[in-house]
Amino acid sequence: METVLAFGILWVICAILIVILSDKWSTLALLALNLLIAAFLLTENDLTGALVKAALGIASPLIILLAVARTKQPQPRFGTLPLISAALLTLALSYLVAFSTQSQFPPGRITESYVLIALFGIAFLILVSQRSILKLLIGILVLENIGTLLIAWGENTALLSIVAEVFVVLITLTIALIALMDFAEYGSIDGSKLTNLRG
Amino acid sequence: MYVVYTLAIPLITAAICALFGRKMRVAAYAAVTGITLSAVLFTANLFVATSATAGLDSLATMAGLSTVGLMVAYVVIVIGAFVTWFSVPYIGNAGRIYYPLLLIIISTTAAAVLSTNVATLYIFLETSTLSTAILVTYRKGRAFEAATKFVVLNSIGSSFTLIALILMFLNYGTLNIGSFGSTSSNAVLLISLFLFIGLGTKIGVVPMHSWVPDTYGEAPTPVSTFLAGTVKAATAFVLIRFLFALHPVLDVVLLFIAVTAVLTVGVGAFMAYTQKDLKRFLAYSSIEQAGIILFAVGIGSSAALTGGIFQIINNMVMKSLVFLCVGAIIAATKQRNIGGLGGLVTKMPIVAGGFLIGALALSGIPPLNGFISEYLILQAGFDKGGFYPALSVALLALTFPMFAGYIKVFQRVFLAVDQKIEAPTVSYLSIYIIIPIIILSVLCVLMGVFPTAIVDQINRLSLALLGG
Repeated sequence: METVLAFGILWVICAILIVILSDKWSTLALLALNLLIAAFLLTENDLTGALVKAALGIASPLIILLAVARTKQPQPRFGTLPLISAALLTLALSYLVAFSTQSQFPPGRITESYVLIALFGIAFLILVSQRSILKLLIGILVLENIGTLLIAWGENTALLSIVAEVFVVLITLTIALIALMDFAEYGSIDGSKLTNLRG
Repeated sequence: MYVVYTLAIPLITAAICALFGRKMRVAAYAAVTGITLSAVLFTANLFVATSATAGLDSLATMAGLSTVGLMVAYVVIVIGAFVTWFSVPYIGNAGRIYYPLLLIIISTTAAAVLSTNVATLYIFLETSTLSTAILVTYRKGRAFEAATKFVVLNSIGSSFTLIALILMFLNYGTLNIGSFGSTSSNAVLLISLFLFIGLGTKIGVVPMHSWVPDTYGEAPTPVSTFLAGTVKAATAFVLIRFLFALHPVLDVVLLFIAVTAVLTVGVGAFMAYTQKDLKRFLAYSSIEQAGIILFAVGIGSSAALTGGIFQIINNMVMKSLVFLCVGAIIAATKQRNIGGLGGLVTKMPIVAGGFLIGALALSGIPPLNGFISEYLILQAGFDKGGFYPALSVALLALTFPMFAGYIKVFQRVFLAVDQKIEAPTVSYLSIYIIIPIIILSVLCVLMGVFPTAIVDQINRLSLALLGG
């Protein structure tokens, strides 16, 4: 339980850093999150899951970093202070939800369930608070990480974890490519400025 | 002949098309040949198959495919063939990735419909989504905006679907939905909500629908046709299969889906009526259609599922027909603004006839196919009792703006003569465009006048889905 709690706190810190930091630094926070998840899987004796997460978990942040280097980060929608407040509020709400539904959690997975609900809340916050398409991509990858952590709960899940991680890389590649196309066309990767088609 | 090969042929053809990418004409004809061969073999397979499993071999079983969705997968391949034919004159000689990606989307959509395995379903759905995202960028410019919205929202949806599928595996202990036992109501509630949000985003359910008009509007018309007519309906079928594989099915989930469905119909119909762009009009009408299908899911009875699955198949035929007609209009006039068109009935009579049949079928006018499926759904809604009769009345009332929209568009585009537009060039109306329109028009009529054989088949299918 202590291991889960320790890793859980680190994951949530990484996720909160993703909310607050710039595109480049939040990509590095995502890399840290992925590697921490790989390390956790190793402690859970899920060698395949750990190897897959370590190998493919590096690929996605690298692709995003390449895209970040070729684009210009849009002006953030909110300042650092409102984002920190929102992150803490989300965290509090997530734990409230987790606490009120605790009786439904699988036995022996109470701490993990708390952490997953917190990560889900923070991922949701990233998706609603950010303008940058690459930051939205990182939010999607945090959501996908919840899937990775859930897979670790089962047995004989090597196939599932490989499938999920491979598609995470493909999703990253596709969205990063389209972000580059957007930047070439509009000079910006600001999702809120993509309004030509509204109506 | 086995179904798995008919799904593999488009993939092999996609590889061939990619090899001949620079010689677009060769790639185009290879694509047409491959997908047509696949459709013909699938047809033969349906006639040769004599038992429930005759259409599948061990390879298909290993890939997690089953015969339950055979009929829907067949329509996916046939509509895919029509869309590929239509692409030949429409797309011309540009874009080396067009045909490989189109064939991948067709094949993976059909495979997703047949899938009973949690892992393979995810592979097929994701492959289809990512291929579509790249294909939407094909026309460049504004299409990048549409592709961004499509890929971001659908990837969020995919994350929800992935979590739902993993929760299924964890709760039922198997990847195969055919082997699902029973689990706690809370687990089912959580899985159902994640599944509905995930697949609902791909279907275009309100409020996750904002990508639909942009994507259908900016994608090449054959791609819009396949997305609106087939991918959306096929995903709805996948939702039905996986939702009703969960035990116990919860009434509260069904009611939530039914209410969302009525909301979806209302938003789709009213927004469609206000559109000035032909493709965006059809995009919103496809949101309305998705709502009708989901209402059947929300009712959840065997009769409703029969109507819902018939509506899925009908949607593939009707929606593809109107989209192909609009594609023909755009190809011939280079115009998609409804106000800039007029008097096309004399210049494009086949297209006008096809559009009218498709529009009336989509509006549920007898004796066309849309009437039968919508009648079955509404009847099931009234039979269910509780909130459902009121929801059925609301759904019926909300479809009227859509009918009015179709009448308005037909009057404006085909009948109004005060517009001076350039005469359509006949060369655009190649045989590749006309034949699919004629066949789909005939199907709309035949499936409406003689629905018994199909409805009987679907009735057996819906009983099987409900475990009866």
